[in-house]
Amino acid sequence: MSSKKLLSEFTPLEMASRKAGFLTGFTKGIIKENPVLGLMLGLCSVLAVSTEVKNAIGMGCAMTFVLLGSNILVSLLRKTIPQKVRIPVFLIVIGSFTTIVDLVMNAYAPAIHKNLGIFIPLIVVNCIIIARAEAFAAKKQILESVIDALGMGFGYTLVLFVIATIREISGNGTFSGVKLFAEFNPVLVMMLPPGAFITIGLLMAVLRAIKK
Amino acid sequence: MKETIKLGKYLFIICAVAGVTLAVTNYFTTKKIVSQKLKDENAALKEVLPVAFCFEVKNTFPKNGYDEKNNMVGYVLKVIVTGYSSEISALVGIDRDFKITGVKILSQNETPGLGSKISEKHFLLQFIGKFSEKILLKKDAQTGEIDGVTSATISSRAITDAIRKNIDEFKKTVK
Repeated sequence: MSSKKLLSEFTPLEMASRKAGFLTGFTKGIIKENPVLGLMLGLCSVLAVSTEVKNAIGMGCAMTFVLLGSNILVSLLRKTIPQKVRIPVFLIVIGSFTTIVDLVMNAYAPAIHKNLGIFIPLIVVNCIIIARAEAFAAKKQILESVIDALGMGFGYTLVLFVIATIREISGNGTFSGVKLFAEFNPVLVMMLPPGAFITIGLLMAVLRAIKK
Repeated sequence: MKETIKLGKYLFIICAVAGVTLAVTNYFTTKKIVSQKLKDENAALKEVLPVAFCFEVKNTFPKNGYDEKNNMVGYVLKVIVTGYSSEISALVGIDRDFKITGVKILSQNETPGLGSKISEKHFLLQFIGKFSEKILLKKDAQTGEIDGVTSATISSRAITDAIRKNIDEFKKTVK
C-alpha cells in the first residue's frame, strides 16, 4: 500500500526507512550482490576487456547506461507487459539500448569503440542486464529500479576497474597507458585469460572475507 | 486466438517504437561515423607516407600518394598475413625508390603482451628508411636488419617477411 502514497504522506520514520532502503539498494550491487564477484554474471566480457583500464571504464559506462535504460523501461512497462512475451520484450528493449550505445560510441568515442569491438553488441546477451530486468525491474517501482541499475552498474564498473588495474600494472607495467616503471619485467600471464581468472578468484576471496 | 492477437499487437508496438528510436539514432550518428572513418583512414595513410599531401581515392590498394603540386611521391601498400594466432593487417608506405617510409599495424590479435608488441613503435620504426633487401629478421639472415620482438619470433617474422614480399611483388608490377 505504501507505494501508492504521496511523498508528503510519509511519516518521518517511513521516509528514513525508505532512504535507507535506497542506500542498501545501491550498495548491495557493490558488495553483497556484486554482479561479477557475488552473482558471477557477465564474466565473459570481464575476462576480455579487463586488460586495460581505459577499456574497462568504457565498457563499464556502456554497460551501466544499457542497464539503466532497460531497468527504467522495463519497470515502466511492467504492468502492461504480458507475462508470456516478457522475455522477447526485455530483449527488444535491451537490444535497442545496446545499439544506441554502439552507434553513439562509434561516433563520439571511436578509439574506445574500436578496442571494445565485439563486446559492445554482446551487451545484449549479458546476463546481468536480463537478470536485473527479470528479477528486479519487472517487479519493482521505477525509482528502486533506477537505484538498482546504478548500484549494479557501478559495482560492475568498479570490479572491472580493479581487475583491469591489477592486470594492466602487473601484466604490462602501465596504468591507463602510462608507463609506471623504468625497468619492469611484466608478468605476461596476467594479460592472458588465465590472469583474469586468477585475479577474479583472488578478489572473490577478499570479498568473502569482507562479508564475513 | 484473441490472446495471440493481443500478444502480437503488444510486440508489434514495442518493435515499432524500438525501430523508430534506432532509426533516429542512426540518422544522427551515420554522418559522424562515416567522416570519422574517412579521417582515420586518411590519418593512417598519412602516417605511413608522411611526405604525401593527399591520396588516390579508391577502395583498393596500392594507393598512390601525391604532394601539394600533384606529383606522385610514393605508394601505400596493404599487407595481410597470418601471424601466430591471428590475421595481421598493416599499411606500408614506400617512396618512389621503394624505400619504406612507414609501417602501421591496422589490426592484429596476437598474444597480448608478446606478439601484440609488433604494433609498438620501437619495432615498427626499424623499418623506416630501409629497402626491401634488408627487411629480414637478423636471426634469419645476415643481411637482415630487423630485430624481432623478444619471445614473439613467429609474429615478427610473419609481418617482416610479408612486408618484404609485398614490396618485391609491387616492384615487379611497376617496373
